[in-house]
Amino acid sequence: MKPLELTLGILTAVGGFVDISELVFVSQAGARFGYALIWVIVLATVGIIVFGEMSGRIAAVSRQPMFTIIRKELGLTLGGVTLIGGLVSTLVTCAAEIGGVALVLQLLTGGSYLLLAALATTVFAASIWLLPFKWIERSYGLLGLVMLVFAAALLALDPPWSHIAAGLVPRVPAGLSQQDMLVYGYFVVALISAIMFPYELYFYSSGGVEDAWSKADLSTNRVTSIVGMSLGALMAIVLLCLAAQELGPRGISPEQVGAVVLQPGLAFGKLGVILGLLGILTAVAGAAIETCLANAYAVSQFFGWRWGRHRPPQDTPLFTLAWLVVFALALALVCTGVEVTDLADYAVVLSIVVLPLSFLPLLLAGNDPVLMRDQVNGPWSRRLGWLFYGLVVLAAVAAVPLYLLTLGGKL
Amino acid sequence: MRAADPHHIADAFLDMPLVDLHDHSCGVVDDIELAEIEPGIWELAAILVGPGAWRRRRPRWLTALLPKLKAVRIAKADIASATQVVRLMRPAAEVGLATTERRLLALMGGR
Repeated sequence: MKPLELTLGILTAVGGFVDISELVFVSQAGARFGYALIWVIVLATVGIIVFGEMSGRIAAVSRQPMFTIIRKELGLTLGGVTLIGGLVSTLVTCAAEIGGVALVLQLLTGGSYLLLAALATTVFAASIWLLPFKWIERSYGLLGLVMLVFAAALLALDPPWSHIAAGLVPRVPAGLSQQDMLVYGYFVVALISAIMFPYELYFYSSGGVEDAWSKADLSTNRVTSIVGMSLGALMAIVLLCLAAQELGPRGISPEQVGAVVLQPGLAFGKLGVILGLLGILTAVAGAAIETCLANAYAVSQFFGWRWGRHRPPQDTPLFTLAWLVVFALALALVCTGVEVTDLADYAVVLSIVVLPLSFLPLLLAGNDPVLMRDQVNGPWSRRLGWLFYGLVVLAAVAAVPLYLLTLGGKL
Repeated sequence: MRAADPHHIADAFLDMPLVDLHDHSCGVVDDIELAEIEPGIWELAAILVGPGAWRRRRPRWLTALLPKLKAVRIAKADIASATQVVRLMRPAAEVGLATTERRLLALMGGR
């Protein structure tokens, strides 16, 4: 394990953990239900760690990325359904990220939303085309660490630690009406989805194969997924706590990104707002690039095209065409005028529906002693894997009815 | 590969990624052809690659919707090995694989 590589990997994971859907949902959850949903963030983070570590281990041992595994395990038809579902949900997520970046840029510059969305998409495409992959990953991930201003703001605002600790215990707040109970249920499902987005695993596993991970990298994979994702989850908890402490009691509903960036401003004034905006800008920009590449990885691996960002774009023409088309379609979605929060809503609902099909092949491959040899899932990986798989299936079944009954949590 | 149960051969080959002699990805095994070399013993005769080979595997309604598409047949003799990937003994161009990708490579000046 190389200490510098590991530290950078962890920092990148932390900076890259937060995306627009998490920002929207954790802030709304905190403003509406106080600290009562912190346990969901913790639970879903353990889930994404279990599957993230598994996908990295499979990549290191079998040298196979996720969509190659999905096609092999599920076959052409069911694998194809997973591909289409994954592509649609990740495309909508990419559009939400581009819209989020445009909103932040609009707050910073006062320019036209659509023009800024087009400009941001052009910059993302240019950076994928021109910059080495490590630079893209590290620069967006590390710049995303400016998000730590939210953690500093929470500490400066003297949070109620006992309430935060109580939020770690799974419970339904007392005195909720039937309608509130449904909205609470919707937020449970939405937070699980926002933290366990399938694109994160498509991206992570493909990165492992591109970096030619071998058994020697298994410790790095384990530490990066456990420490990086845990620290990233802490950031999500910070956002929820800030919304619970500062927005909810003031009756502010953080349905717009602008409300979220108010929070560091409460502690540090104008500088806090600017740093908050810059942190969100880089974190969401990084997520836009990840979602776009995740779709290009998925389709290329499914059909056996040449793929990878370690090669020049002209050496992987169909892969290159794929990510250019994803950016173009995502921008077209933004240009339809759909609100970013609505896009984030659609993204989490679509993603949770796709999650069971994306995670099942991982579990089957991880449990396969022929494929994994001495790195086959141990008893704990196996148990935790099936436990979280059951949870994801339950969430997937509940997602659409809860979305419809609560009008996307807006009741 | 020979087996008494044709499913064993299907499991070993179907949906496996393909790489050519130069280690370039060039598709996925979409279907296989089997030959019964003696009563009850089956052997892989060829692999089929491309959307045209999906006919037997996709739902009928989808087959009806899609136009007639092309499949490439690669004989057993052109397969070098089959472990995590199916490795071919010849370049993709020689067996007629990755035609769109090769056209785009030429267009974009890639290697």
